[in-house]
Amino acid sequence: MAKSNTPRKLEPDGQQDPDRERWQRDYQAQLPAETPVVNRSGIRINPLYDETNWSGTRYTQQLGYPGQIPMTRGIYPSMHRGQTWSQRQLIGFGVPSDYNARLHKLLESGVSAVSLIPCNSVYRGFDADQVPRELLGTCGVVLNTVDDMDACFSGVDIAQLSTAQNDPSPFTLLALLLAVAKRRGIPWTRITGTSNQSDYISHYVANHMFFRLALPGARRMLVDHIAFTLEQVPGWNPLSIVGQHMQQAGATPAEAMAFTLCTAIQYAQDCIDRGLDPELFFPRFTFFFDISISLFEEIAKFRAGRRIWASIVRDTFGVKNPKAWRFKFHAQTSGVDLTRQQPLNNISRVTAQAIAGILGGLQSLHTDAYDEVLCVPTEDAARIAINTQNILREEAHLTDVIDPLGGSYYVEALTDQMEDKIREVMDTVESAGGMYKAVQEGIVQTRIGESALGFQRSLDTGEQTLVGVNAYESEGVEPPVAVLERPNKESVTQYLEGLDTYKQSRDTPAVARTLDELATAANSERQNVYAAVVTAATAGATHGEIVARLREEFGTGDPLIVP
Amino acid sequence: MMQTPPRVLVTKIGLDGHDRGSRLVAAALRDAGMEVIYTPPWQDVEDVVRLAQDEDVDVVGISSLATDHLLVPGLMVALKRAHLDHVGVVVGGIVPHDEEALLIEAGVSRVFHPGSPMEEIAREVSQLAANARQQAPELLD
Amino acid sequence: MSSDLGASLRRGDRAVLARAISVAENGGAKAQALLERIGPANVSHPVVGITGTSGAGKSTLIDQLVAELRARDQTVAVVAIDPSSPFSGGAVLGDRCRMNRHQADKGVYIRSLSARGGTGGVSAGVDRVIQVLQASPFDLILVETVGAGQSEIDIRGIADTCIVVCTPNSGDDIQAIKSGILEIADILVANKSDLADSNKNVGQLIMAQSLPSNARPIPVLSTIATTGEGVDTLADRLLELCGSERVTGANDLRASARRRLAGAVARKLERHLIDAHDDDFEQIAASVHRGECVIDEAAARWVRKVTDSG
Repeated sequence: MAKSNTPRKLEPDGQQDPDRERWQRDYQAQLPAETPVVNRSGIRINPLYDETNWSGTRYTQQLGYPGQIPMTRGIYPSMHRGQTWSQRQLIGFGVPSDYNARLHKLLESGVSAVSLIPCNSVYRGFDADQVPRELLGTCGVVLNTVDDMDACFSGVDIAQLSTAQNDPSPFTLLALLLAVAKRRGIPWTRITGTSNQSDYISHYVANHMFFRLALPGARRMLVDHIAFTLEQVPGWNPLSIVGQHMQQAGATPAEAMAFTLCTAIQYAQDCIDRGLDPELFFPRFTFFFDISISLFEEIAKFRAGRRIWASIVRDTFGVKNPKAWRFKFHAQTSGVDLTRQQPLNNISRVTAQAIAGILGGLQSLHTDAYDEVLCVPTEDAARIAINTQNILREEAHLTDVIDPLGGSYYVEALTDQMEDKIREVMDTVESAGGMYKAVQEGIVQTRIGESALGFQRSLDTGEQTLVGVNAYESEGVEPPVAVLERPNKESVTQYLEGLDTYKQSRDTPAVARTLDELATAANSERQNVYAAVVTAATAGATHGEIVARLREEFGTGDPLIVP
Repeated sequence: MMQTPPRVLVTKIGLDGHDRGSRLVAAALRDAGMEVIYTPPWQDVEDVVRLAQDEDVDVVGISSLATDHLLVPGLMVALKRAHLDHVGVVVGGIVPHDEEALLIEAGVSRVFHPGSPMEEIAREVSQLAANARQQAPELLD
Repeated sequence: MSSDLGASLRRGDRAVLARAISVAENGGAKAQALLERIGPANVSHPVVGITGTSGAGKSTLIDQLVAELRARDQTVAVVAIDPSSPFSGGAVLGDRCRMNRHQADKGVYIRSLSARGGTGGVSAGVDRVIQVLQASPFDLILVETVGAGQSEIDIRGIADTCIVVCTPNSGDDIQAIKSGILEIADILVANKSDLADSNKNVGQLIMAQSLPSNARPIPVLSTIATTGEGVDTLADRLLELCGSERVTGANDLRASARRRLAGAVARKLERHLIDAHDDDFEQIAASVHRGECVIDEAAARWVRKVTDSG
């Protein structure tokens, strides 16, 4: 295959093409003093790419076929031509009955996979009665008990529904869901979905709100969670490694990809040290990335990431199962690129971002609503976001051809360069002793902070255009008044009363006993702590009680803030 | 112009932990010559009052990306109770229009939205700091 | 605010303390008036300097040390100094991020200061700030320097006791030894002892102690600030040192006062020299520039001139 692709023209170190020389001269004459174009990852972008930058001779080595090593072109043989991608929009607001109403509406529209976004009080590891009540249910659903989980999925067959739960360590939401399954007589083997926020390193570094347990405890918890689900809930993806947080916090696309891969390597090593079988756990690893508006850079980021991951799993870890080599990822269009000024422009931005993600070969996509910088997305805006995906797929025909940019001189050269850049950043992490140590030392945090500052400076100086903010501002065009959606105060009051009743009416000694067992498990190397979490949840312990008990044993998670 | 650099507390209250914005604002205020006391997120209202007092700041800047600005009216009351009325308070982040009005009514000097130029933020904070110094009780009478 | 400023401070009025520190830090006539009003510092509240290379984990170590001291019923004031921007003069003061858990504790007072252009790892006004703190009821005053690595010797002129923090395997440590930073230490802390080759670091520190200029025996302690390991021993040694200074009384206290006075004089002189347009000084500087004499000799010549004329 590679031989038939021998380039017609000469390689860079060979003889120059006279036409090319002439073009270079003409270009120089037209643009004698051009400012260099550099992408967000710091790669200088040429005005033109040709066979001097990339040639088909390396087709097999660098590209190959979809579903085959080196995986550049996609992880499945049919990619989007066969199955496109899951359209996952985030839902979670108010109290469990609000969630349930929204869920039924979604299910009527034909979706089979949903998300569950809990209230920020849940993220911080608290029950509703431990935080200022003004905040309850404003950013996600308040959910503390097995009754709450039951109410969220009331009238819904949870064996038929895949849920993506924003459920950081110690994974209380899955525990509550498993408790509901038990209550309803559904075997755990039929429960499917993903623990979307299981990547505690990304929380320590970037999305601090999710970081609940001190590092060593979080580390132990994750491996136990993976071990437990592999054995007991085989349809569950216990791990999603989240590059999105780091890119949102300011990492460049190359840095975000590098840090994510290093995190995955760390987790894999931890699983191996624990004695888990790489042939089994690797296929359960999934990833979650941000898609910025830097279109070609993002496409190259995903293609390079896919290639590096396949080589890490196959060559470095020596895993034979081809399923393990697949770099399965969900992606979300970046809210950082959206503006409050002239917010309808955000629809165009999200479209460009979504194109980048689709051409980058994603498996699941969330498109941001245009009004996200103003408020919690309104229903209208959420519908446009979903339809943006439908338009790209069915009107623009983005899915007709697999990896349609493969073979483009630019995209291939950029993919190679992004790969080099990513590996360079990965080397700095590895030389610090791996991701766990690097984040403890603040190396990753410092680098992300510097990149965030660099990007902000490019906006401040106008070097990077932001329409409506530092360019093309429209005088007198005020942002529209956002529609406020705040939870009903009465339902919050009722919820708090219900929680109180719940706590009084359960089998208190059983709850106390399982919480003590949880503490014992946390202090014993031989027990699975996550199994104890599930037992406690089933016995009636609340989310906040489980987290609090583990905080006593493992220490409270204080992320390392590097100002 | 003030003789010594303005002292500004940049912090987050409530539950949200997204701190990219607050870090960038902290850097911008530093570059404008101010001394910025920077804290981790999740401060209680009482924490902020104690920080403002212990660090003797002229201005408190609260970053709110979720709905934590809903706690700011309570913060204003607590600052007053601690005799820190002279301290200027600004909020930055995602604050819906009608709630912005509530904050201003509660005594917040200014709400900055995404895309506010850093220069503008620095200019206003500096002005607020100068006012705060004038209004601060004199230690040596 | 209060005519009996000293009494308010001694009582632990935090509002007064915080404002008084600002006035003291800012200097000038107001600071002088304030310090006169407060009266002489209570030197029985020892000042502990904590210095070391940037990234050595000083703030985290202080966080753990404060917890340890609090467990022993000691009240603690922390002055955390961060560098200022040479361009704007502003600063981001973030050291207290790592001491966040002590915020609600009334027995702990944390104050963030900018170096305000000071070159010696401490700010020009820090000795005045310490005087204010010594008038308040905190048993110990910890001063964290900026950690620029090379120029921390100033802390010696401010603190009664100095802890120097190093980490394993960084080139900075060797640099630190060369620049004499370790020679100002009363306690050497090898932090992050969990990192590879930690033994080598302790070895380096001991080697530094055998330098001929350093005759004092200096304890070397290993800590892991992130977990708190070794911090109890550090607290033991620190309290022992502080206690011994207090019981041995007059001589040591006078030595400490002498050091602090020398430090203050040195800082004043430095500022004076930087501002000086003295002809002699300029002449000597010019001859150094032309390579006519080495710096030590030039300095000696100028000091002679000054002292002779006095």
